[in-house]
Amino acid sequence: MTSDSSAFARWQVAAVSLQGRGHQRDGTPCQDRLAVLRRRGVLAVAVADGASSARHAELGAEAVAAAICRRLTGRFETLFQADETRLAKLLWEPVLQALADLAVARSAHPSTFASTLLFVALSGDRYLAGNLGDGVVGWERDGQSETLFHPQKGEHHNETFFTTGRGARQRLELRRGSTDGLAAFCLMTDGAAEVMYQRANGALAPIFRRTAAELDDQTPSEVERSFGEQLRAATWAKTDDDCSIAFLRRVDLTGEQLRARSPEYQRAFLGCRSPLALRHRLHLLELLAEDGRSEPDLPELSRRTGLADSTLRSHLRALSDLVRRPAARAAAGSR
Amino acid sequence: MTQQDSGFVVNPVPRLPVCLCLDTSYSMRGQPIADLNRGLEIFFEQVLNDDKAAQTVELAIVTFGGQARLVADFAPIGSQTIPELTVEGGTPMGAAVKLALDQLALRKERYSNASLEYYQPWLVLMTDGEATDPTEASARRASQLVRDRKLTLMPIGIGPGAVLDGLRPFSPDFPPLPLDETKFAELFAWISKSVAQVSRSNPGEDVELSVDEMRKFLRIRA
Repeated sequence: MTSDSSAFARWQVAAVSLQGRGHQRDGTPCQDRLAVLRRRGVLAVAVADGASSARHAELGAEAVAAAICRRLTGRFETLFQADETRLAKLLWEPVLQALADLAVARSAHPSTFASTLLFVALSGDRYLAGNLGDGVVGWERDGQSETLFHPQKGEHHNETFFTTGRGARQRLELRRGSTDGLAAFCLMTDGAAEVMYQRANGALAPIFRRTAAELDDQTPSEVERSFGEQLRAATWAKTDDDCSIAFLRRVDLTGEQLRARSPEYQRAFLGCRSPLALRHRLHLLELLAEDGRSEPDLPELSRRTGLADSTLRSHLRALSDLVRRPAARAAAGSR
Repeated sequence: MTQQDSGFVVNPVPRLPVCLCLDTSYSMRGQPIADLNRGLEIFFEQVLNDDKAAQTVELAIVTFGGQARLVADFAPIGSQTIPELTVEGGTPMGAAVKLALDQLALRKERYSNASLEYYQPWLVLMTDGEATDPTEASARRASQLVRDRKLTLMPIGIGPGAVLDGLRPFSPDFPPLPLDETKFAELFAWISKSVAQVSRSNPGEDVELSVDEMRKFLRIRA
């Protein structure tokens, strides 16, 4: 059994995207896109809001959200260490490439793929976040919600900045630092911001912290279902626009607490679908907690779990963004 | 349960300031002024019939007949009464456009002070003749705002006597529209429909005005 003094922390993600009434009326698709990628010990979440006037906006939104997540998970360490100019350049390269590839594939001008872009990446005890356009990124730090990125607006309500616009890279706002004291993030498009962000004072709606905290006890699917209904009701009379929002919550659990959760919750927490994979991952967590070393002893783990080397590596990769705390509140170390 | 109780926030609706700058000079006497008054009624009715436009559009009316006059200051259409316009004197269009632009600038300042978002303002300029005062300064100011994408200006010449060349300097992008003087109703229906479209637009969305609809009230069929 896992020692109770060992705790595991993982950032859980719940994301909701609603097609706006305007697009329902026109029979056009929702132009917001969300991307979530866990890879190489990094969690990356991106939200892109396709420009209403751009013909292939939803394709552009999807491509840039996926591209930025790949870059964030693929080169987090380099990005985190880079100076500001290089950081912006490294982040923007894959966005431009994705837009150029789309333009070729669709024989269309890049501007027809315009969207905003918001993202957060987390690795161990560090974060990197960015914003271009009229979306909002907020966090909960030391028990208080704060807005990290406010909407970038032109003078008029229907003006903002897009990935395909002149000087987009220069307009990209970036923040990075330690996750100390951080419990949650939210990333939202302007449609969701209509009811989640107070324009007059830049404050986030109280429901942000409440909803993020639900991820402590509920699976992301449960939170998405319940919040999706509330968001639909709240925005129905307020906006015709698509509405998308992603919540990220740092969930800290001891081995005992994780064991006590439902299999659905355990599977969501550990990122696996089958009962067999869940059993292996829970067993691996026990062994890792006993071991206490920063780098896992693969031959020993293989011997004790009976898993083939490739299967073992696959499970460890899937758990690579899990933060292990060897003793209660000890310094966190990323795997 | 209110939205605030449920943990969501309530933001004020963005505003769309629309200023109608209307010729009420003596040459508009008779049927034209009657049709203009009827057109205004149609504009009010149609905007009020559209929930979103009714919340968003704030209307001001400046007339120029003898002198430039603010006959209705900016306010939501639902709280306004439709003014009965009467004819008088010459056509001081330069002074009227100056007054309209000043009012729009003031309104935008008030929105900003109140943290209210707003759409690009609209100025609808209608005349049946030639200005009787200097227009250069007002035209320069208006066209600069249009070029800077800070104003949508719609110049409309009423009837066969309208001097469209006099309107052209106000609007570098949008050519003056020659209105069939019997088609005020169609024009105002089109304007209300167009502002309703703007009130529904989202960031990044350019609202395209319907040219087909426009043909219904133009004197020269495009």
